[in-house]
Amino acid sequence: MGVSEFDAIIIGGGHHGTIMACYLAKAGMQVAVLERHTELGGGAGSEEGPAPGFRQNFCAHFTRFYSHPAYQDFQLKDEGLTYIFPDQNEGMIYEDGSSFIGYSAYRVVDPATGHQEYSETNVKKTYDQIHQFSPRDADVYLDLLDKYTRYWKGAFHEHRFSPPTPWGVPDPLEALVTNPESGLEPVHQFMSVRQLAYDFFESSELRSLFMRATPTSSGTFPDDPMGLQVLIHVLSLVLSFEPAAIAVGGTQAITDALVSAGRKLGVQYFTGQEVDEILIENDRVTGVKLVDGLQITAPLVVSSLGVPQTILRLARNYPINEKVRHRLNNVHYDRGQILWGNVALHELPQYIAAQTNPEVGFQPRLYWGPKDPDYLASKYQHEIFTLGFPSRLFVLTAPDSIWDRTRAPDNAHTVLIEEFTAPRRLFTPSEWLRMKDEFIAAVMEQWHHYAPNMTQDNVIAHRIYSPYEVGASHPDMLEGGWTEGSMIASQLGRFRPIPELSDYRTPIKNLYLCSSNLHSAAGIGRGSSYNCYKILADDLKLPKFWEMSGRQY
Amino acid sequence: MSGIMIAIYSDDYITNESLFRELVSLAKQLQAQSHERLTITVVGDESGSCTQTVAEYGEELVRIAIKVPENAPWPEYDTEALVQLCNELQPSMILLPKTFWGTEVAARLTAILDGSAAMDITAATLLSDSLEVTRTIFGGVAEARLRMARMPAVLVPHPKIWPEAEPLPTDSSITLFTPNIDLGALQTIPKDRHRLAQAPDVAQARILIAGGRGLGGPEPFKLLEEIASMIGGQVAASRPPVDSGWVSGQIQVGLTGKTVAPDLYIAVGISGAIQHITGCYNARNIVAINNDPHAPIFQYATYGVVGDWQDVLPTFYEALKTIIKSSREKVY
Amino acid sequence: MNIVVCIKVVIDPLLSSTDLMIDPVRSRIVARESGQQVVNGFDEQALEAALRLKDNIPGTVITLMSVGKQVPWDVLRKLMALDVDNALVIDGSAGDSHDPRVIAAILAAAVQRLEGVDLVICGRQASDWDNAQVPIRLAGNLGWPCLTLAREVKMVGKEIQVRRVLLDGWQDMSAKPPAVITVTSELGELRYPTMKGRLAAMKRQPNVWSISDLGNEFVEATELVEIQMIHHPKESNCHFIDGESGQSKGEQLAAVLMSSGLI
Repeated sequence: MGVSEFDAIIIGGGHHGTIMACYLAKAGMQVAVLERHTELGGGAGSEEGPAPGFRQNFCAHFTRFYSHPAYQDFQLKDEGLTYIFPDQNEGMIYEDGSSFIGYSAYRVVDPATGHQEYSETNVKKTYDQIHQFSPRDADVYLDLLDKYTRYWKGAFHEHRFSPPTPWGVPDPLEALVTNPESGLEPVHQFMSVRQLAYDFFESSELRSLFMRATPTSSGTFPDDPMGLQVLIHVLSLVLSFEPAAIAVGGTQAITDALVSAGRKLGVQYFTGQEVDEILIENDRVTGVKLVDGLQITAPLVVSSLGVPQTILRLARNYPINEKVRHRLNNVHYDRGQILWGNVALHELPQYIAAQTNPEVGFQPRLYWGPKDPDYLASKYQHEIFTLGFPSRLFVLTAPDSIWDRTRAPDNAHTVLIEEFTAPRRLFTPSEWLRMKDEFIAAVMEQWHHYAPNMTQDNVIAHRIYSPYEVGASHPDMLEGGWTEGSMIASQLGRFRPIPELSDYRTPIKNLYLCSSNLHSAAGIGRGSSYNCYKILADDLKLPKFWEMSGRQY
Repeated sequence: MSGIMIAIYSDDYITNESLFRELVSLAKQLQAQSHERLTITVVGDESGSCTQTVAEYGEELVRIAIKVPENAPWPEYDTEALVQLCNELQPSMILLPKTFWGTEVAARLTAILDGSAAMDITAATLLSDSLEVTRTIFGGVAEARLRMARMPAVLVPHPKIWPEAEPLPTDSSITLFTPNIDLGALQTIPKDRHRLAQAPDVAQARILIAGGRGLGGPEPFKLLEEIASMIGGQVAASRPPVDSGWVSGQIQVGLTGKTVAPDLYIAVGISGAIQHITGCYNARNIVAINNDPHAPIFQYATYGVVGDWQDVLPTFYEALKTIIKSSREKVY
Repeated sequence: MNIVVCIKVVIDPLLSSTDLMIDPVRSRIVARESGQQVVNGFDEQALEAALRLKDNIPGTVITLMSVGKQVPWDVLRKLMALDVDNALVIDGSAGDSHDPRVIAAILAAAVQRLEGVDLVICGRQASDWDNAQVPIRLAGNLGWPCLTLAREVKMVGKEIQVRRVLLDGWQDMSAKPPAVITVTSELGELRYPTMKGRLAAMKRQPNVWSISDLGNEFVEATELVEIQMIHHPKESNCHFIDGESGQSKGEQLAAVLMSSGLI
């Protein structure tokens, strides 16, 4: 390493590390990013696969980074990050051949800025879709869209991109439940996914989609209380309030743009450099020591690693409060485990349901599975934890190559598939490897029922990842789940991952935290690093870029 | 019971003489303590060419050849013949090679003679009243010490543990042992036999380049072949490529494959599960190419490359080509 | 046809050495974390051989047999999702013996007590002790022929015929049942269960016999004196090749191996 002194060291070159680096460099600091892997990006990465000429994401898939403040602050469009906005968002095909397709109520009209406009036409189409199976739920849709527009949307963004408020001071989402006009009631904070599905909707169609779409967005199962943050997020997707968005080239494009912007600001990235210990003197951070023994000093260290890993392992010599240690040892990680990957195809699935609605099959988030909310509510998770995957599959498909032709060669397509699975420890390495093969066999068998052309002849190749591989390569994804700690209500917002350590600060002076394991939770485009910078700006008197740009948050 | 007997199968001798020489070293070590007579029995060789070579391992030696008829069931006939020989000679220790033949004969012989058997032994010690052996288990991550409680003790040494004994001249004669076996009374019946072109034995190679699950399919093994042939090595594989049918089981290294100890072992896309490590950890130099920096294979490697083999191998190959070409140019 | 498939539950061989330790009480190797056991890979393939016979021979009955002290049913049960008729667990601490003489004798006694068994199919060896002794000794105890290293198993007339893998090819071998067969990995992977089978397996239970009910005394031929982990270097001495990209590392590696004289 050429330079031994930096103003700031960022541990971890993943999604949040690369965002944080840009902000600190923009604030005038000499910044070093230390990444254990040979590639930057963490969960925001893509690779060639499942066959030569195809491209697949290996962790995150659905992103809306165009709406992240960093997209504007660092002109990421000019750094090569472009989005495509398909007109439809989410849909589900049911076992009986029926379907539900949502059309984005807010369409992006300017891909450069992500500027949106309300689409009366699309709202009418979605309304009609729901009306065919439930006039009541169609009215609920209109009502919730109205509430979303007037109250939720703004609050949701403000919550995502603001540090947590102390207990007793309502955060933007909690403020909603005290407003009788908002449509969100106090009891909604404590309801399980299943209770909310049944509370909002009467139709089996929307109840099924809601209970299956919730784990895709947060990893939470039907019996888990999901909290307001996840609830609003899921409703906006299930009912297609928000548009779909596809990063051209995969999630790697986000990392590449951030790193490109960072380099221009002077950030230095070091890959293959694993931090062994955070150095602390007199309760103040002084730098880090690498596994090869090299010490690097810096007055500021920001860890984009999980809180348990940062505090218990890297800052192991700091005498952390016993209660905090106990709680960090017991952070819940048993959600967000998936069997997922891409299937490369000669031709797109041709769904039977398209005979009634020709637009079926062209949704960036398209599920297929039984129209059976009671199965989801009562047996789904239990079968997953005992068998590895459920006997009745609910598979999410994302045929991105329809819109992004960098994902597949000419005359071919690639479809992401996802189904939930069990925590890593519940199966052995051999069992995981075999489960992937059994899973793909089961998917093909059931997919064929919905789309008869989905036979082995149509498959060029597939590459499925399980929690076994995820956990082996990502120490913060304990139990192999992508959410870096379960996103259940008690582990969200100001309680994430534990109430004592959710506001990006630590008891160690000048050691800060900015991972998905904190307040803003998991997902590319969430606010942990941005919010951490806000805290830093307050604590260290750094420039407040959001105020300069006139942004609310 | 008294006497040490080595029994080998002529085909095994031809394909892997080292195993035989290691057996001789073990036998000599035991003989030095017990001073018992050493018998070397070669099964399946009628011409004597094999026993002539055997004859070079001298000292107090009884040499026996057993002819096996063409239509005899392998290794049931061989076992029966050895049982009859053992009934005559009453050896206390029988040493067999770690091959398909040796492993199976060990089990059959021990069953019939009701002795005790130990596979994969790495040490053997004669105590005043018993024989103790150490053997590897769990693919070499652990070892067990066993006391052989029944005679004869049938021992199958782990390959590459004992040194290869050097040939010595001897003038002891060869006895042909003719067992009294009624082929019709044997339980198994041999039928069609099909010989494939024999791949060169990976256990003999000085340089091995081995592929694992990470290669993803049979295609990349062609690149391994090209690299191997350029540097005078051979291709090997861990178990997943064999089970998936990408490559032949003949080149498998590991717990259920071969044990190798080349000068250079290049492991590509092999994580280094116990299953595999047991077969290659005696290599003098291991080079690991793997995209997971925490793959256990790196614990055993001299040189490591963290990266995707698809990026690393092509440039590795090209660079080697260039270097080798320029070094040849220098010579001429 | 009446087929017994012998199943051994082993520690997952894909665990790394650091995941294993010695259980000081029972003097054997265990995984540090619980639940890291699987069906021995070759035994899965033995079941596949039995299922293929059952595919072709109507009325075939498949019984799984496993011995040991409290054989974990969770592990065995996964096999019950396939077309398996019965599972028989022979319970008792003698079944945990390291010694093939003991295990073969227990299995033989159980097969005899079952009566009417035509075939016993076993994996060629277990991944923990790697002996490849039990099936052959079992055949010896039963006085049955033993056909080994099968990559194919089929009935030809009244004979059972296997295609045995040899170092340089294969050979067909046959015998008159009853017989013992060992199966090798070239036979192919165990088939996948149906969803219905997976769910049905949740409710299935084994028959359990006690080893003491089998009457015999089972005496080890080798006594286990001691068992210990072999020290492997924890700190890696690996020299990692630096480089900007995989491509440049590949070039570097070639240079390093040439200059060090390894190639």
